Amino acid sequence: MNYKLLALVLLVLLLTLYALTITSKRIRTGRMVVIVIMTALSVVGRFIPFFKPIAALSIITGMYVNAGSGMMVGMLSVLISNFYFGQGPWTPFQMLAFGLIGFLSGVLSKYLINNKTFLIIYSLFCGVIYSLILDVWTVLWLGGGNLLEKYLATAVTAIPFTLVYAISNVIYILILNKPFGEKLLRMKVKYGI
Amino acid sequence: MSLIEFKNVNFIYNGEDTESLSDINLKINEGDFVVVSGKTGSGKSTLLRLMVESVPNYGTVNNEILFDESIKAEKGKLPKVMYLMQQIEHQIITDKVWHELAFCLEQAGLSQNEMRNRVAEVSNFFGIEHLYKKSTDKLSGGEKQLLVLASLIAANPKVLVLDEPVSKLDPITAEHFTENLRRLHDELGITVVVAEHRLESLIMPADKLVIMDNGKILLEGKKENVCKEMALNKEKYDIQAFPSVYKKAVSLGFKDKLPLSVKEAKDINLDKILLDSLNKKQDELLNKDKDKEKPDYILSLREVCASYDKKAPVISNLSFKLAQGKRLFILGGNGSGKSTLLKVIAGVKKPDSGKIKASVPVYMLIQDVEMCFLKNTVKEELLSVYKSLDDVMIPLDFSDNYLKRHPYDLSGGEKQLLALAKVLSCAKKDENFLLLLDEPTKGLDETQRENVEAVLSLVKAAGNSIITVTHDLEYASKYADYAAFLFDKDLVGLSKASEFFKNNKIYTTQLARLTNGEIL
Amino acid sequence: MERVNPRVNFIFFVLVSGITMFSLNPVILCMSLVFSFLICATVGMQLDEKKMRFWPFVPGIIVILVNPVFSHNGSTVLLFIGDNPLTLESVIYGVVSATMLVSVLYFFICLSYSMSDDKFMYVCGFLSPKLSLMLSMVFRLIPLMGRKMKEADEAARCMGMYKSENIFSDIKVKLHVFSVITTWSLEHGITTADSMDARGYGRRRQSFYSVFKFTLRDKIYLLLILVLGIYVIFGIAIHKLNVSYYPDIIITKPDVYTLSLYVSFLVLLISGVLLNKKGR
Repeated sequence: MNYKLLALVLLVLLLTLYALTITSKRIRTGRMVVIVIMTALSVVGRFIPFFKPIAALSIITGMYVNAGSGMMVGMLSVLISNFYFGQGPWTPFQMLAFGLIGFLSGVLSKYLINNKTFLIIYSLFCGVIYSLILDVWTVLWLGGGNLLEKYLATAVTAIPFTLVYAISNVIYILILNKPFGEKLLRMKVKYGI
Repeated sequence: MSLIEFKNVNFIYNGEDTESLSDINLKINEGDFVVVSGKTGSGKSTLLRLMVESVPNYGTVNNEILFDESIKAEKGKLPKVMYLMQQIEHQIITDKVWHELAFCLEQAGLSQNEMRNRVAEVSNFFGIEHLYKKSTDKLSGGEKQLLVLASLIAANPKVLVLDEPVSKLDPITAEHFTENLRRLHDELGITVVVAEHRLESLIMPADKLVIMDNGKILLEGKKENVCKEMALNKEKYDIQAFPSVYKKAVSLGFKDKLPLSVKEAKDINLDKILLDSLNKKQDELLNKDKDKEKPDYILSLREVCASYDKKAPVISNLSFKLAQGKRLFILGGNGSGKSTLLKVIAGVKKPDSGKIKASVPVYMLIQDVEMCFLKNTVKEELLSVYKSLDDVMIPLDFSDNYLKRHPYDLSGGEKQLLALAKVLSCAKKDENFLLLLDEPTKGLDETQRENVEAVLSLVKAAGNSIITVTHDLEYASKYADYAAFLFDKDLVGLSKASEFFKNNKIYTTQLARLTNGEIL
Repeated sequence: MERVNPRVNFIFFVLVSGITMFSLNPVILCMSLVFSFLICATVGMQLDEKKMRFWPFVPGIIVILVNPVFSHNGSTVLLFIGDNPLTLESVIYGVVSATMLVSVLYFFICLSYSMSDDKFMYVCGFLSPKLSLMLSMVFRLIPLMGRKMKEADEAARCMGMYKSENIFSDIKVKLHVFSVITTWSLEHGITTADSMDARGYGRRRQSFYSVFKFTLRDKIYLLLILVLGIYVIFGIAIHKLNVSYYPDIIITKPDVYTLSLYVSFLVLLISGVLLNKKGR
């Protein structure tokens, strides 16, 4: 059984399906522009040293706009920024991870906006989720048998990285949440996006 | 048959209590070339926006705006009224010129062959075939404006609505753009409605004028009639927006055959009249010009070279000196390196070679002042660089209403002043400095320009020097002590402003062209 | 001007990296590795250029090192590390996976190198015009934002924000610049939205304008690579190219059919080199 094949094909199918559903739905113009701008910002932001804003910006878009937009920002940002930082078989996995993070934050937006502790816990959790999904890629790539055992081992070895990632994620969120929230809310009030 | 008709229309923006437009009665007829003139905030942009059904207006319209059947918005069809907005940069949607040209056509769901055909037609009409495969980001301001216009024309509109299309362009590009509008009107029979606060280039092709102030239409009708009416009641109307030959003729008491261009001015012998009146004053002027103090130089550049790419220098072997308390205006076409020169003087960009010596601190205001703003209100913005509002170097309007506003909601002139206040926060109270300004009046109307200038004259009066880069000749001729032309990577013709505009025959103001440089 | 329609090129890369990823056959993998280099060279990357990145070898080496640690299958034990056996089979499997990884990564590099922004959009436009429009909008904003960030940086310099020359103050100013750009782009986004509305965005189902043509030669190329690719994939699916690594390495004896699969893959790869060769 080739898990790699299965996982990759499923993922690509999923993403294709998603791309097709957004064509059938009508996105409001203002919202579409916001998605595009947030995506461009996270791509551009990735060029600043030590600054990896994709997860943070996907979460913020999800929170203040809606779940679908958060997902779009997450997925498009990875897809496009990987043109500059290296495209690879991991791209679909990253797209899945960031898309999920953005989507979930849209679902939980009520709690995230009102409760700072919850926001911090959520962003920690997002960091962990991201690592766990990427570990799936690593393991599938190593191939061979004992997948579960390998997965656990990888996840355990990756704990320090996961922690650093999750904590930095919290920091970015704390830096960006207030200014971005204000700006997006101003857009909402002024133009009804 | 009128295409668009306003019947006693009032309009209020959401969340505001005063009407932005009141009692508007206006008919736009098929084949008209209408120019709407008025200050910033007179409601001309709002009026134009209401003519475009396809964009949201963020407010409430009372009474009726009637649209003719042939241009009514229909679902599934491209709008027949196309709209070109003020901000050049932001109305471009896509990354490639070809994509931008095809944007409307894609929305109409046309087939590949139809689209190719239309794109070919418009690129040919506007002569922009050579840009076809370029990135939109690589275009100059004028090219961008032309590209958007071409993209709108590809959709085959009946009416074209343009909001201040030329106010941000340099005079030559503005002429070119206006010429294209005239062709669209004359050759394709498109009805054109333009709003503009400076009419020098647009008034020639217009056949109807609408004068607005304070949300009301003051005057409306055939161009000749409106021009005459305004001349007859010159106390009642503000003619700042009009070409300077017209203003001069009105001030001399002309009531009929009012000139709108240099040629028309010559036809009525305005030049002779002006020169005659000049001879009487000549002697006074000559005496006034003789102040021969040895100036105190605060800035000197010696053989400065600068480039972004070693193979193509932007300025080379440029030398000049500037005296204390003087204003130098640097003129030049787009992309002549004016901004680069300022950056080099300010020390933001390192020169490749040469010496720059400034004996006072140098402060620069960059062209896009929005790049200085970050906070949510004017007050926060000021307090982010000043300890208290009392320390602010320049006089601003410190009313609560102003301090509470969002920097991006300010008018162009107010933005300039706020940014200037931020930049000058580093300056010490009793030390002179050199201020560099990059196109501070771009897109500003006369009133805003005066406001900015009032502050700048205070700065100058305090003994500070100012270098301004601009392509606004009328502006430069009014305020400059010295002027120079940046051409072929070097400063050309650096001299006293009066001599500069006198010596130039083409690159000079309308009145100077008319009177051979005797009057600016 | 590129010789071949980008969609055909895209399909080529999907086919070869797919086949490489899912076969553990050493012959296939060797061919992939060699040709991934060759195609890299043909799309314009010289080996001595900086653009030729060697980073894919890093994960490759990691795979070689890590695999034997996790996997203790295999009958030929080379030595014991603690209680765990290090087997020849797991070492070889590591090398094989590494080869696969490296060649797939190089195929991806070739792909992103030969796909300019507008080609990528063209490929996506087939999937969904709206997605392609969004990409196009992002691709417009990226250089624009880059330019504006430089301006905002200059403005920060003019306002005396660079107080000290250490990395932290540097990053602080960079974040400030990022914030400025954020406000700027969101504030003006509404103009872009209005501009889209004014030009009839979303009135009906969009079509997709492209500057690329689908010529007869493209059709022939497409047919060729599809036939070859599907033939090889079919062969993999019916286990004709199977190699078993654990507990012993067993390679199915090559017969005429297997050989024909190898030849097909080789022809496919060669056609890829021709596909990516620049015209003129």
